[in-house]
Amino acid sequence: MEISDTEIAGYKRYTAACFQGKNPPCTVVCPLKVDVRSIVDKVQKGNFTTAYRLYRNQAVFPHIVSAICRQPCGAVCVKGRVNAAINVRLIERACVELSEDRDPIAYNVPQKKQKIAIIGAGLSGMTCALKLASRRYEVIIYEKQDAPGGALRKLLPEKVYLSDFQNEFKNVSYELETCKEILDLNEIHADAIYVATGAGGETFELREELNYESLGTKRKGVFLGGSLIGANPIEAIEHGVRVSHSIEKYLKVGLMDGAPGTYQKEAICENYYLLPMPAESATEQLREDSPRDEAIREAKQCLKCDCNLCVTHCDLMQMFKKGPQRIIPEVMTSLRPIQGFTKRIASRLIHTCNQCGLCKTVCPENIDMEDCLLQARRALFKTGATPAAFHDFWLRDMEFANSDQAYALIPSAINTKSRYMFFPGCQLGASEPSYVLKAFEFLREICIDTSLLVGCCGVPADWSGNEAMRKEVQNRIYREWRKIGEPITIVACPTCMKMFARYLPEIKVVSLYDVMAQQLPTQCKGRGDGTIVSVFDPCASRYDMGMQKSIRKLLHEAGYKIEELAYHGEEARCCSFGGHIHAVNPEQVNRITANRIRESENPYVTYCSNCRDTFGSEEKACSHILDIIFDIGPPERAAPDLSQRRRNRVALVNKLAGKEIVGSEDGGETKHISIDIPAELRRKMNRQLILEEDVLATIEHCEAMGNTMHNRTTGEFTAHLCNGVITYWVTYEKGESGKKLKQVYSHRMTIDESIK
Amino acid sequence: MKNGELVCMKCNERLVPLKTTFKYLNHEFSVDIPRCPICGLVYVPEELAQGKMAEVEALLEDK
Repeated sequence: MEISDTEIAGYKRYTAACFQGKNPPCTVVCPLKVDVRSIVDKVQKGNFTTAYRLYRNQAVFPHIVSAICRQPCGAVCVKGRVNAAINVRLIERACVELSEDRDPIAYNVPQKKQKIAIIGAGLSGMTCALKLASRRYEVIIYEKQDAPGGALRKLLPEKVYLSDFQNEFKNVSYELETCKEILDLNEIHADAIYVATGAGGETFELREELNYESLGTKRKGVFLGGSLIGANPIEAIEHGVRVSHSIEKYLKVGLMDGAPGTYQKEAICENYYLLPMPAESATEQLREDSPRDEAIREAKQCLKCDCNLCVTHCDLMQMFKKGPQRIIPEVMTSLRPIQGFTKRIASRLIHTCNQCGLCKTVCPENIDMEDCLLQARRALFKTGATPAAFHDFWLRDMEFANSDQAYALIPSAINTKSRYMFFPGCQLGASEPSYVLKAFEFLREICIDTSLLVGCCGVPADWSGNEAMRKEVQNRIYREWRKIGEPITIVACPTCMKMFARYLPEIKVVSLYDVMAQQLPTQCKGRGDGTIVSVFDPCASRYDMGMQKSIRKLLHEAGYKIEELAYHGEEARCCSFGGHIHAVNPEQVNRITANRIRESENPYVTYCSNCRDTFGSEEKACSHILDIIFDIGPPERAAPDLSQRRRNRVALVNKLAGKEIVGSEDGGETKHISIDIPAELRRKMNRQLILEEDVLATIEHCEAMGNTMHNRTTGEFTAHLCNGVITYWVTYEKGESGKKLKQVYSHRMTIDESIK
Repeated sequence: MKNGELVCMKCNERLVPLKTTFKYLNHEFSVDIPRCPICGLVYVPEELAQGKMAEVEALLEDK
């Protein structure tokens, strides 16, 4: 199945409003479009020569412009709205003074045959002449005075502008005829003419019907601009540049309508004024500041206005060093690569997103990369392009959670229909069965007419992009909910809350913690005894401020003091579990977890069991709020490994059914064999998503089929088994006390074991 | 572990390097790895699984 062009093109809409990289207000209002952001960046680093080159590219005559510019940029400077505007001219002058190389670039382009005549050697005419002469047209300038400069005479000492002209024209050839006043255009023999005779100068009756965009007149090949039509000196330079492009187009295709890129006006992007202002950094002012130090200091005040909020907040964008505007084209390419030509370059990126939604929250335009990358996962899955190994473990985990061994529906104690239903999800009981048992008991004390549904909300299927599977899981929840009288559903896991709100909107949900904050369990009062903790808001909680407040209220009541993390509330960050990226990008999981741990030395309190166990497995003290409410375990408690999580689920369901033994007669799998697994190998299995069940199944299968290998030196046995997606390899020894695991690993390739 | 000391329990034969086909994401390639010359039972050492094979898997996943 292929993805349609329309569907792929639809991804562009995600970044339609993104203004990252758009010109800042200063550049927008600058007639010459001086790239202030880049120049300032170079000056901040003390690189005046490169900054000068960037400046000259736009200013044409840098010495002159830096001396006469009236800085329209200052009036729109973002910094100027709260503080003093940046003095860009001071920085530009420093570039001119301090550049170690002011030689213009000599372009090696072929000589053109056409001749261009320019009437008037003022700023506009000289600019146009320089641009066309650099492209190696034959250029002749007619000037009625005895020297070039025009209106500059009134603004600057002659030697300043003449030396700038001389320097910039160093590498080009042109002809300048002074003391030559043109009275009739017919006396000129040229392929194109630029009339730049200055304020009040000769228009040759061509002002009427002037195209103010291309500056083309009604007479073919003749253009008019500069202060002759009311431009100020800086605008006159821009006219000269614009006309040089219009003339070139005219010479090539005979059209007088100019090059749109040279005259189209850009509106100021108001979003720049809404961006958060960084804290003022104290810059040291020396008593005797050199011009260099002064320019660097001024440049350092500049914010180099650009929006980078999503990138600075998002772990994915930081890892891949890409913002939405680069991600979208790569996603589009990845959805339908051209065989032998393009690759699915963003496949790993798409599957490394934590699906936390922080990007949209911080974006002034609400650009939703979470949704974009989820849609991309769905599209890749639909076309069969998702490597099955990316989500296999978590899909099997979901399958297990919804199997008879771990799934349970406990009806209300008094009715077949119930008023409330507690939905703890599948991970809460996997983390610690007591979380579910005690919370259920607490809820039943408030209202006996409460049922319990233990199972998965379908998020692993959602994150894998498998829509059909997600719907199947959620339809089951919906059917059960209908069957037991459409009760108000009390949810413990913020991710389940997010899933219910998004896909099961008919089900009225309320957070367990909101209920607890209303009906505080009295036994936890004062338990914290003033201990300082930081609340780690799970990323899925960002949509429910009420739930976040309830947690704080509960902690306050329990006697804890809270020191908030930099990222909390609406800006909560993912612990690394979101999006199930473990099999896709294990290094990123480690990096994110380490970063989250580094945010504070305080013990964390969270209300997502995955956050709790992610930190617990890295020895970061972290309590689930239910640990505190029901006194279940200390914050230092280690996280259960992946195999224990499954056993916990089974134990929970058995307890709920009134059975105490794991592995029941009806449906529970009875273990035939067992194996001693050293702690180091258990950690490795956890990292590589290998379950004890996988190890046992491999041994059992191979021993039954006789497919084991024996190492005669070490006495160890090796077995392997492919589950369809992953192949597990297990090396073990058999002793009197049973089997002991010696080595375990896996791979994703399949092996053709037939013998030819 | 020295591969030469590995014996197939079913055939009681030492494993010897034999051409073996690996498949992943619609790609196929052949490599010599230790196998039982009779029943074809294969052995993939950890260095191969976590080294070269993991590298190729990642390359193909990004293709």
